[in-house]
Amino acid sequence: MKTPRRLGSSHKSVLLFLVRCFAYWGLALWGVGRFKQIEEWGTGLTLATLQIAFRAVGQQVHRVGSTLSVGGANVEIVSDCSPHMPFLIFGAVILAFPSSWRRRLLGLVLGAVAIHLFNALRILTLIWILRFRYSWFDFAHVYLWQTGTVLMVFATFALWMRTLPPRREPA
Amino acid sequence: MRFLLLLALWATLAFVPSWLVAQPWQHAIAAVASRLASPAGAVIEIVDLQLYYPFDLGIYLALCLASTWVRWGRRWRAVAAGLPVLILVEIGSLAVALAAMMRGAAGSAQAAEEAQRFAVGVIRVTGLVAAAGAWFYLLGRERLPLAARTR
Repeated sequence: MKTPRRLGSSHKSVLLFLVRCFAYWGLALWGVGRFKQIEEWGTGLTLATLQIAFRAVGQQVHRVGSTLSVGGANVEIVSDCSPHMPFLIFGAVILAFPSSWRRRLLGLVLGAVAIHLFNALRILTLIWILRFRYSWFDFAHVYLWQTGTVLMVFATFALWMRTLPPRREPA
Repeated sequence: MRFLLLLALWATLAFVPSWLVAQPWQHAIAAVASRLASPAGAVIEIVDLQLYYPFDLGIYLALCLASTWVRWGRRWRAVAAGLPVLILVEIGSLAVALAAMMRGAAGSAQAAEEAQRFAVGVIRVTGLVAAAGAWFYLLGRERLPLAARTR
């Protein structure tokens, strides 16, 4: 059975990993620019999830195009509200990391779910702030997008790393 | 887990000064980037800016300071080595985004739309990707094999 390779401490393997990461990331950026369906799918999924979440707690919600009306607040879900960018970064790291394809697939699925749920929670929080603490909105929006998303991606990656088998030391 | 908690703490602390200097910082970066991206003899006038700079620098600082497996001296050296590179990445990625948008605007409506999406992608997250990459190269890589062993 083929043993998946692990990153060593050598510069070569580290650089190779980084080059792969940036190559996948570049490919993802090109794809996002070229195919608008990626962005549309991300915002559509976010809209659908938010509608389900509001209905689950008995909150009236109306959707017109990409705008949600909740308790007097109108929120337009734009590309920044979609989880596709954080997921593509996460995907680039998972694909670049030396592991078996089965483990990578597991990581991509786990990451997709975790990042999507975090993103939905982020938008719900922002809608709440928009309704009740409007003056905090800009600050919270940037904070949750930058710091929150980075933490989420790191945490999901760390969780995925724990599913990997122990590293084999050379004899 | 400890690393993630420290990262959250440092990132939150670093966010505050980043927030305070964001506007003048973004204008300064945009001024340099627009000079690089503008065709010879032309001047780009930036009316409105919606960038996430310098929050990527704050994230990088937080990543370095949360790296408790190395001594403080190495953490600060990593900060000193990485920040200038990341500032260049900010300028470079904004220049690429501006150049892509100008090129797209000169073509069809579809080309303009594609260029806009590409530019937004570059502006929004390249700084964060570069911050994570720089941290990994300078400090984080020492932690990865250990993490892979932990079950």
